[in-house]
Amino acid sequence: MDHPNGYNILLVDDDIEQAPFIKQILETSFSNRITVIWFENGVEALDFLDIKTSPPISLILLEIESTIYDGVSILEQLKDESSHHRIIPIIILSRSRDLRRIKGCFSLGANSCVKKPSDPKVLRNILGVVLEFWLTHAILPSSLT
Amino acid sequence: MIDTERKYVVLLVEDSPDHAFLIKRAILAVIQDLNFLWAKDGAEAIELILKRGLKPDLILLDIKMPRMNGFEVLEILKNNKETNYIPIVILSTSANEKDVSRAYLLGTNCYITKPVEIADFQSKLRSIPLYWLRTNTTPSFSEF
Repeated sequence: MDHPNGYNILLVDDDIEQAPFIKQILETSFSNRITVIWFENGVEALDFLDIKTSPPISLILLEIESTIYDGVSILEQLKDESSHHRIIPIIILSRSRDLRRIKGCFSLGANSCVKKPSDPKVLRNILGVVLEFWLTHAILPSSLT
Repeated sequence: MIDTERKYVVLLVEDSPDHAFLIKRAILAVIQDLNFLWAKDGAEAIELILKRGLKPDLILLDIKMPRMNGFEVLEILKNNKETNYIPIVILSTSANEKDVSRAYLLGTNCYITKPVEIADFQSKLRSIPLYWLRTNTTPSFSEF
């Protein structure tokens, strides 16, 4: 199923040096058909999703080890039974290899978890694989609306 | 501690022997060194996981199956604290809107359709181990 109007990806990441780079990689992929909406603060991202006029979001990329918001709490709220947004796939971006924490994220409903390396080349490769898989091979709930 | 010697365990839950053959061949063509297990329906998968303690690294789950369908399996595994972390990828011939939404709301990690064209199907199948076992961080390895 194609997205004729392109894809909106919500990026939640407080790293003001790396997040713009991630945004740029994503927006220049897939023939410039991706729009990234970036929030440094997860609480503001939640508020944005609750605005009725917000565009449909295809994927959420959530940095879990933030110092300015509680990433696990944001995940928990998004995937709560009562959340209107729990159908949106969430991919956790994690700097650490804390497998217990990662397992906890999966238990809370994260759809996937990928490494967020500091090396720009490796990061670009990982994001390329993520986009290729989710936008080419998977069916996204946003394609249904 | 991560046991680097441990092989990935992939459980396919699929009632069609033809699809099972294609899926197994495509997955093993990408990663040869894994344990590929096949349950012929949902009831057999639940038996393996909940009664015999199997903890796969990845479950590939068909929807339409006899005895117990994929939605029932998904609901049971995602509502159980012992198994809710296991990534589940739905592999179905159905691209029906209701089926896709229901699967995501029940907690599937991903939904992939089985295309009719063999080449398309194989391309999708090859992407599964590359993404889920090579790019995604496999949560079950935290137990070792």
